[in-house]
This record gives sequence, structure tokens and C-alpha cells, in this order.
Amino acid sequence: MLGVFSAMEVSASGLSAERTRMNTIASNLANSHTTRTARGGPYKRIDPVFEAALLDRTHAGSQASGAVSLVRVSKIVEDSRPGQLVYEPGHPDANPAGYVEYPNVNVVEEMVNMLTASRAYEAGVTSIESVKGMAKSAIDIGR
Amino acid sequence: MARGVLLMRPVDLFSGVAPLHAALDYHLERHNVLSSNIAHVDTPGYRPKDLARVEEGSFDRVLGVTIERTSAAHLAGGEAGTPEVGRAFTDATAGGGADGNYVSLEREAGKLATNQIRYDIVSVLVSSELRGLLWAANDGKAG
Repeated sequence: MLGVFSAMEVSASGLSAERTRMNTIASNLANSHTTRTARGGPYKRIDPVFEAALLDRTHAGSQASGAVSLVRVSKIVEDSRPGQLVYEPGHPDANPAGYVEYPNVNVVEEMVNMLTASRAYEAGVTSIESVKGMAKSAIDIGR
Repeated sequence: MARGVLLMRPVDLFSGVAPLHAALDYHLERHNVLSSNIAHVDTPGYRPKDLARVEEGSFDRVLGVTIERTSAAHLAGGEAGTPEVGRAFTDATAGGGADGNYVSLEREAGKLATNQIRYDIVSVLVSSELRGLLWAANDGKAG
């Protein structure tokens, strides 16, 4: 039997996944002009990959428990698209031809992703609020 | 002339509450499933699930027995002791995106809100059922 707290747990896993996405977006935006990284070359934008993970509980006799799954960030992948080449011969990271490769971060794209993540987060918060409302009306039974 | 004795059959006082209890269980369980769908709004390849109400009178449950399996290849009958509140199914009718995710946030949020209202209604019904019992227990004076 799945209860109020498992619903909150599932929603919370969605919230933390969206927060991870928010962090990668922040990282991408902050590094949109970083031309030097620890492993050489310009910064490459990163993306989280979400996957469905089984709810780590045994709910004997419950059909629904198989349908409920947590959200987990399975990995963070690097975007392999090439960055923009800008002619800046005076730049210390310029190649012999005088071009500097900037990160493949598109600020508009990141902004759109940020809005999506933020809305998904709000949806998760709403579903937690809704579960709380249900728990409250259950407590009010017999009052 | 002997007067007949009117024998009252024993009545379970809470027989009116039991089906409502099952309805509360079902809606809470369904809330878990719908919360999981909303949490997976960004998970690639995720197909939203839903929970269908199981018909009350499946054959073995009406009899209160467990169907015996004479071969391992037979489908398992319902366990007599474990009530099943619903049957999970995949509800991927809303058009999927390029990442194979079929979750429509509006649809799921609508289902979630509907489910909450239904839960609240059932809990109000339970309250009034119990208030009726209280009224009867107090000789119709208070409650």
C-alpha cells in the first residue's frame, strides 16, 4: 500500500532531479565564455540524463507500486557540438590561425531550459501540496 | 398463542464505512501514480501510468478463497488476504515528444486535481457516515 509519504518521496525525487538540471544550466551559463578547462580546450555544455528508478520499498500486494517510480539522474553528459570560432589573434587561447574556440553554450537555449526546469519544479511542488491537502482531509475525518 | 420472536440479524455498524475506506485507499494509491508521472516530466522514454479501479466482485474475492494453482504456468489467482485497490496501466494517449516522453503536464495536473477533490469528497462522506453513527449512539440527541 502506497501512502502519503511515498507520494512525497516520489515528488521530492523529481524536485531534486530538476534542481540538478538547474545546477547544470547555471554551470553552462556561468562558463559561457570559459576557454580554458582542466583537461584542455574550451568548456563544453553539460546536460543531465534522467531515468526512472524503482521505488526502493516492498509494497506487497500493491499493483500500483510497480507503476510508481522515482526520478534519478543517471549521468551527466557533455554536449559534443563544436563551439563558435571567433577571430581574436591577441587571445592567449587563440589557435595558430588566430581563432579562439568559445564554449558551445547558447544563452537563449539555456534560458529556455531554465524555464522548463523551473516549471517542472513548480509542478512537483504543487503535487506535494496536493498530497498534503489529502492528508489533512484524512486527518479531519470524524471531526 | 405463542408469539414469534423477531430475531435481528447482527449488523456490522461500520459496513457503510468499509467501501468508503476502499475508495480512500484507491485515491491515495492513484495519487502516488500521478505524482510519479509529474515527477517524470523530463525523463526520456517515460510513459505515464494510471490506476484503474478494480471491480469489487472478482470471483475469488467474493468467495473469500484463493484459487489454487495446479501448474506453475497458470496465472496467479488473487491472494485472499491482500486486497487490490487498483490495476495499473500505461496511459500514453497524449502525443509524445522526440525524447519518447509521453507525459503531458496539463493532463496529469488535471488528473491530480480531480483525484484530490474526489478524495476530499470521500473523506467528507466518511465523516458524515461516522456522524450518523454517533447520532444513533446518542439516542438521536447529539452528534
